[in-house]
Amino acid sequence: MSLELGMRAQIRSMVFVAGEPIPFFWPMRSFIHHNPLHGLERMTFEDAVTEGHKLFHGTGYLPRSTYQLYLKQNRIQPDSLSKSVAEFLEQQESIDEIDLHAWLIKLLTETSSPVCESANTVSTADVHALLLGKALSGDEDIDTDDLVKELLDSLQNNCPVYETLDILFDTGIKDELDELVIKSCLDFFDEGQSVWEMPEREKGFFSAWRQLAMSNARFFLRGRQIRELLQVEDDPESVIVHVMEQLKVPKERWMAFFRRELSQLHGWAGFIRWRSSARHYHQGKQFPGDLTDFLAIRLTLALALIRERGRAHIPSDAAALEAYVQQNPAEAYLRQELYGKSVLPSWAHKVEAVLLSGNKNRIQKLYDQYLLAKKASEAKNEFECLRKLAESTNSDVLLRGLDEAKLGQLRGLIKEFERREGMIWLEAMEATATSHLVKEMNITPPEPDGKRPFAQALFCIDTRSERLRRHLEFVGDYQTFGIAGFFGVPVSFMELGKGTEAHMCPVILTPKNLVMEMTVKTVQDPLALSAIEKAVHELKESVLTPFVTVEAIGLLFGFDMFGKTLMPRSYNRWRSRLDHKTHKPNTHLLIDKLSREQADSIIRAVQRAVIANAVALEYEVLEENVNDDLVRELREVAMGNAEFSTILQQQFDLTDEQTNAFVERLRNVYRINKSDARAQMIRLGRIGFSLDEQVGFVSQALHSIGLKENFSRFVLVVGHGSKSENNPYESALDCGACGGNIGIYNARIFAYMANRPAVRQRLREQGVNIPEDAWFVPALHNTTTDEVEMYDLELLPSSHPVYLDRLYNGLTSARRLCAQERIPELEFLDQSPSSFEADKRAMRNSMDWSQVRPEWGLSRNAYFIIGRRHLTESFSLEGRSFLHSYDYRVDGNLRLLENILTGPLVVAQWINMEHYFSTVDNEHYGSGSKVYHNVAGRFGVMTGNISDLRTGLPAQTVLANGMPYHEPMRLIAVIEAPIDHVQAAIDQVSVVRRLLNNGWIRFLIVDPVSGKIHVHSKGKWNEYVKPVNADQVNIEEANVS
Amino acid sequence: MQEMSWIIAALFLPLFPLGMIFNTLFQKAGNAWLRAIIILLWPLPGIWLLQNFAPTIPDWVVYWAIASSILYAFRSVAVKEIGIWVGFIATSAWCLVWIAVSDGVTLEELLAHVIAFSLPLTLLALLVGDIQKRFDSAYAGIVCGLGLTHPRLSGMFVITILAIIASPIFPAFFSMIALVVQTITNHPGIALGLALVWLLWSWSGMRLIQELLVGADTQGQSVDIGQGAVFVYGLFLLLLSIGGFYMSRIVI
Repeated sequence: MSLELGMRAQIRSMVFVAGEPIPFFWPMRSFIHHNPLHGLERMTFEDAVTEGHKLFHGTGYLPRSTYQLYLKQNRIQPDSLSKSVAEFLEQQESIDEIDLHAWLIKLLTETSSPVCESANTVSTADVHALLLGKALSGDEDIDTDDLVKELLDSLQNNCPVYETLDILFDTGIKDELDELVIKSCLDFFDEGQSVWEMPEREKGFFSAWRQLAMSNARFFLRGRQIRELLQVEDDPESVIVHVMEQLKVPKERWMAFFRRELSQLHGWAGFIRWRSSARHYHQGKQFPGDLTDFLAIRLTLALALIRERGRAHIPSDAAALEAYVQQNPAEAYLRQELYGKSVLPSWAHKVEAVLLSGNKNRIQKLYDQYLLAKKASEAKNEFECLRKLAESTNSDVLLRGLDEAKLGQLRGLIKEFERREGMIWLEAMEATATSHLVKEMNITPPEPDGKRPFAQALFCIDTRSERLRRHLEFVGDYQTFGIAGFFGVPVSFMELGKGTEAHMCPVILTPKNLVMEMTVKTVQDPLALSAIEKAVHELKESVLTPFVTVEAIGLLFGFDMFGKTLMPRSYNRWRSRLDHKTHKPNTHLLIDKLSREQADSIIRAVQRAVIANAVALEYEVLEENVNDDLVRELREVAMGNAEFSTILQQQFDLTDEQTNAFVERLRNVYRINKSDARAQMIRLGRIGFSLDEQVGFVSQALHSIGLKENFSRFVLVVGHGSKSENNPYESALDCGACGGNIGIYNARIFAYMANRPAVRQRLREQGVNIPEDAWFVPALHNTTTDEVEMYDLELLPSSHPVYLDRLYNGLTSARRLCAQERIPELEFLDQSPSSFEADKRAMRNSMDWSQVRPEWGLSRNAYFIIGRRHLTESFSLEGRSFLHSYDYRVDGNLRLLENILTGPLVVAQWINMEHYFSTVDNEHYGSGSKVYHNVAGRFGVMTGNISDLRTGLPAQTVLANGMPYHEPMRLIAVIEAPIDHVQAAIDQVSVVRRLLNNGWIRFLIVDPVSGKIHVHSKGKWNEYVKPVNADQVNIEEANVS
Repeated sequence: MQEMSWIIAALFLPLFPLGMIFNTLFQKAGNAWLRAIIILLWPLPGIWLLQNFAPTIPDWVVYWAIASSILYAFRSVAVKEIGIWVGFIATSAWCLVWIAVSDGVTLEELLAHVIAFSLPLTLLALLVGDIQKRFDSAYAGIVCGLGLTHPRLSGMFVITILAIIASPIFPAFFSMIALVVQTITNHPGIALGLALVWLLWSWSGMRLIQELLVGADTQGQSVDIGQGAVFVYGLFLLLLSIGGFYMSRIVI
């Protein structure tokens, strides 16, 4: 019996809201860096970390030992830590004569594990007794009602029923359920990896799965009542309600229950959530599926598994579980200890044996003994930690002198401190990083010399551009700028040979315009090698042929393997000569908007070609026998502009009916009709940019970076991308501002627009005077090798090629110097190799299929600097900073700064948070080691053959030898502009205001007018005083103006 | 008395239900060295009895022995306390000696079988002592994640488990091969039983490795075994593998 519409809508909205904290997961081919706690950004950073732990079981800070290492390495300076502790203590009461500051510093810097973390059963009286050398009290203070309440709270705290069963009865339902759900997802969401498709996918996720599950023999053989469950209801909402009622979960807990369920496989849930919301995603439209389907499948399988296990006389719904705990508190407690893995190790076997015996008396007796032992163990641990702390601060006598109340106060203080410890370390680390940056920054702008640079280059704000920009500026007369790598042109792009659109802009934007890539060359026949390649590929993918293929041609793959492994550079160069796919022909981009007449003409041309083909095909004549008059007349008839085609009738000797039938086929099969023509007109209307749009985009980009005059002969527009082999994460190394794609297409589009005389004419009217000899050259920065490849050189004016050699030399020198700087970090070398040798190694990295870390990517990102180049020109930022050029003097109405804050800054914050969380807890927020990854469905990766979709970054991107390489800090944004100017801009951008107020991002304002630096802390702007000497760190909060 | 001596021998080469006596005593012996000595010495009186009294052993005893071996091997699959696991595997392995006895092998061969099964178990009993010293217990699953935190101990543990579950080059492997070859023609059922025992050992051994070595470390900090210990254990395992080749000449 299906639900009423209202109830169905209610279930859908509950699932929608429950899924909100689950972060989107984009397909890997256009990897989008995102904050794994994006759904919790409405909370403060600290609270979101706590909530994230509850939902995803991830930790939000590094372990204490790593921070201690940072302290030793001076990446956290003792002063800053000391100040942070002092601030914490300001809000606490003092305890007798104990030097709490010294205690807490010792606790942070010399104690390896938390003092009060595990002490659940210990009371202050117990620790006090140990301090005085007395025996511990018995278990008389333990109340059974309290125990039941605590157990129920911990077991039913929005836990799915099966999770509670796993903890109490070691049923292993969760693992099995996850596996079944993942298999279902793999079947349905597959994008061409499987040879055999799941049937009836077009009906939707739940319907297709239901169809299969009803006849799944394995379910039947295992005694799972899937069929019975699915026969009761047939739509996902009804199934959800049915299962929840069967599980007897009170309705007020449904929402939390759903949220918990969805977060169990948050990678898959995030992908489904994104997919169902991505309107342009072809697969999503063809095979629809959403979180309601996902939840319905998960709950159905969960109920079937619970019932299967329930046959072994264990409770199988929430009410029965509650009754069991109330009737058997001791047994439930021991079970929770053993199967929840919190049992004292030395008691594990004993507890297991007694539980298996099922003897109530023995269980009760063991429970009494165990509780005492647990209490003694935890009390002893805590006592030892306190004693050591006291000894290290020479206050052991004071500690022993504390009465029970004061000791309780001390325990509470330490507990609270340890709860906040992560933030204290983090703030100290950020203060150190801020101090290092401010110390080097040059606030005073140099006097303009008016000299025209040899070349200018617009680079993406990406941290990897910083090194290349610095070296390029060093090797010659180059001026560089930073701008979001889509160059402010949001575009949907259709690449040559691909039928789908890719959004080349930050994911927070939706492009209106479409650009198509076209070639003037005719379609070539596939080379013989390609045909062989295709045949081999099909043999590999078929079900049975691999057995034969290995024997027959396995050796060929051996050669390939040796070549790729032993001589990756020379082998790949040789192979690329054979592979036609790597030789893409020169292409043109359709960038200019089509006029109505042009669009109409294109549609007519296409329709004529289709009609000619249709006639040739249907009447089996050669195309040269289909003349223009016939085609023209047929088109007019099909479009409803004429009544009948007499030429067709006469030429092929047809009856009236046959003639009309063909025209109908033209209308219905070949789509020659008015409504289709209208739809095509609308689609064509999206192609290209109008002149106004082109002027607007170019003007805005040049204004936003402050480039209005003094243009060079060459203005390089440098997009970036990464090239590596055998790397599912390749697109994670591409341009985030281009939606995880390479940036060359945006660069080509922008350069085309900026070179167009009509655009320049209009720009001149706006005060942007681009001289005639200035030419915008699109280029691609390969971040793995730092090679810069220029495009569209055939369009270069005849006066320019003579200067190309100098340009090439400059780019090559900068590339080698970059490699020399990067390679020691990448390969952990003590000594820097020569620039030539480093360059060779970088080239090899991009071609080596066994290389799990072709480059460090955006690892170690820490800053986002919005301002003029002079701020950071004089020192190395070690590839740690996003650099966005900005000149506040040309932004009177704040529009440019608001755009930078809305787009690039928000994307950078996602990147920063992705790196942060992937570093602090790579297993939960990152994706673990690449070595075990397998591509799933061609859109994601899993660990091993079955796992949740791995979101976040792999260990090889953020860790080095198991320790963090990326230094996890919140993004430190620096804006060079007067403080009023910046405050007004931030006030206008709600998303940035929220990030700032909730502590997701740190802000510094460098005011060039007053020469002062302001820092945002604890909800207000304070003046930051530059450190006097290099070792001193200012804690911004201490410098309140 | 002479004819009944095989029943007493069945206490030392424990058949079900007499294996319960050995396992109860073994579990009571908490000290690792004591456990190691028990494993080394326990089967010897059984061998002595069978050799000196040469009792007539009923034919069904062989079937009883393989059934006992399967039973204890199966029981070991469910055990997570590694010390207890050692006892069950020892019981399961010694049951197999009866199959060799039924074929009338020499004293040297009998001893070779017993040593092949017992020596790696002795080493594991000592390693269990090392684990217990560090974590108060050797209960796999509660003690876990050793692979990352205690690589030396983990390495020795894995190789020892491989030696126990009769992996190639270790003596137990050649013992198992000899027993299978010995029975496959005349008693294919027994050979099948041997294969099942072998499978169960491997299954339970791999489960222990998985539960003890893989996963997050939850036990706090403790120190790995020293290089000296690794050298001694490693030498022992090396000698064991060399002994395996020597044994292959005796039993096959």
